[in-house]
Amino acid sequence: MEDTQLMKGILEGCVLGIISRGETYGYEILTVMEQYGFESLGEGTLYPVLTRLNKKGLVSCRKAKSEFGPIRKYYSITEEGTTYLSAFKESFRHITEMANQILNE
Amino acid sequence: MKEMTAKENSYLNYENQLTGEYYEVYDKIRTYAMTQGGTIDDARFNELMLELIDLFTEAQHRGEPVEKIVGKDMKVFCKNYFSEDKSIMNIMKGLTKYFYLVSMIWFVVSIIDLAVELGNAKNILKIKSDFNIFSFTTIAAILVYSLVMLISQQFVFRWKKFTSKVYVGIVTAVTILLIVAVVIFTSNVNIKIPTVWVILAAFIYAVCYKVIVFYERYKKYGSIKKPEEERALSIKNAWNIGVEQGVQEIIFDYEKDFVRQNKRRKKKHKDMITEEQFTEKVRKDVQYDKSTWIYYVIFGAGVVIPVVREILVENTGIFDILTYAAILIVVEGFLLKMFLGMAKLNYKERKSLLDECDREGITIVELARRRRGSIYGVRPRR
Repeated sequence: MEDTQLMKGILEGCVLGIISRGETYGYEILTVMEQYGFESLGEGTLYPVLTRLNKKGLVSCRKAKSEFGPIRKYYSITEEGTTYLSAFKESFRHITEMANQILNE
Repeated sequence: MKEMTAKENSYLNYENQLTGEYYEVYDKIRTYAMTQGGTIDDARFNELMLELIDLFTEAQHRGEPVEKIVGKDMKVFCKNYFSEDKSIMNIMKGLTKYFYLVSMIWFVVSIIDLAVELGNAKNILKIKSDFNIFSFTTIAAILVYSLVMLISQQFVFRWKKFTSKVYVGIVTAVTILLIVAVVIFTSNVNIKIPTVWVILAAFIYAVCYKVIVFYERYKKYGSIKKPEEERALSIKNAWNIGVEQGVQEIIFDYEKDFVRQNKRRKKKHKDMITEEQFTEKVRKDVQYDKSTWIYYVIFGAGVVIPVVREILVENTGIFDILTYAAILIVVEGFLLKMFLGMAKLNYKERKSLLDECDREGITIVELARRRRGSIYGVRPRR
C-alpha cells in the first residue's frame, strides 16, 4: 500500500530527529534515513523538507567547503527546533497509541 | 571563517568534477530548472545546484549509483527537489530585473542619440529617438521566450539528448531569429519618442529598482555592498569561470590535436610525428605567439575604418565624428579587454604546461594522459 501520505506527515519530525543528534549534511541524512528503511527518499523529498525546516527556523545552516571541493550546507538544530521536536515526539506517541488501539482491536 | 569568493560560491566552479552518468543526470536536472520560466530565484537556483553537486560528488566518490540520490524517476525527483522554491513571485522579480536591464540600454542609447543630435537641433525637447526595434524586441522577447520554455518543458525528459547545451542553443537561435524578424517586420513602423522623456523614464525606473535592491540587501546582509554570494550569480563571474575551465581543457585539446594530426598523416601515407616532435612544435607556437597583436589590429581597424569612412564618404561634421569615435573606442575597448584577458590566460596556461613538461621530463601528450587519470581538479573530457 502507498504510504506517501503517512510519510509526508512524519518526515519533518524524523529529519529533525536526525539533525538533533549533531551537525550533519544532506547526503549523511539521506544515508541514515535509508538505514532506517526510508527508501523512497531518493525521489527528492528530503531536500524540500530541509528547506522548510530552515525557513521555519527549526534548523540553522552554515556553508563550508566539503572534502571534495563543492560548498556543502551543514545543518544544526536550533532552540525552536528542539522545542518543536519535543512537541512532535509527544504528538507522535499520542497518535500512535490511539491508532494502535483502533487497529489492534 | 574567511568569506568565500564569488567563484567559490558559484555552482559553475564545481560542475567539472562530475563525470559520466553523474554529469548526465545533473545536466538533465539543470536543464529542467532552466525551463521553469524564472519561477526559481537565481540565488536559490545557485544554492540548489551547489547542494546537488555536493550530493553527486559524494555519491560518485563512494561509487554509489546515482539512483540513490534521484530515485528511479527523474521527473518526480525534479518536481520534488524544486517544489519549495518555485514561485510566481520569482517571475515578477525576474521581470523587474529584465526591465531594469532594458531601461539601462534605453538610457545609454538615448544619451548617445542626444549627444549626436545636439549639434543639429535647436530645441533639446524636440529631439526624438526611434524606438520601434527596442520596444518590439522587449515585448516580443517575453512572449517568445515563454513559448520556448513551455515547449522545452515537454521535451526535457522525453528526449534523452535534450541537454542544457541544446536548450541554450535553441534560445540563442530563437534570439537571432527574433532580432531579424523584428528588424524586417518593424522597418515601416515608426515610434518616435522625445529622447529627454526616455532618458528621464529610464533613469527613474533604474533608480527605483536600485533603491529596492539596496534596501533588500541591507535587510538581509546588514550592508548595501554586494556580497560574494550575489557576485557568484553575475555574468562576469560565470564568464571568468568558463574561461578558466576552458583553459584547463587546453591540455586535452593538445592531446586531441596530436591524435588528429597523426590520423591525417596516416591517411596520406606520411610519417607519423612523435610526441617529442609535437611538444617541440607546441613550444615554438607558444614562444612566437602573436595572438594578442591580432586583437590590437582588429580593435584599431574597428575604430579607424568606420571613422575614416564617416570623414571621406559621409562627410560627417567634426563633432559627430568625435562622438562616434568615442563610442567605438568605449565599446570596442571593452571587447578588447575581454578578449585580451582570455588570450593572456590562454598563453599563461600553455607556458605553464610546457614548464611542467620540462620539470617532469615528459611530453605534452604524456602530461595529458597523466591529467586524464587524475582525480578531482581536472575532469577528463566527456
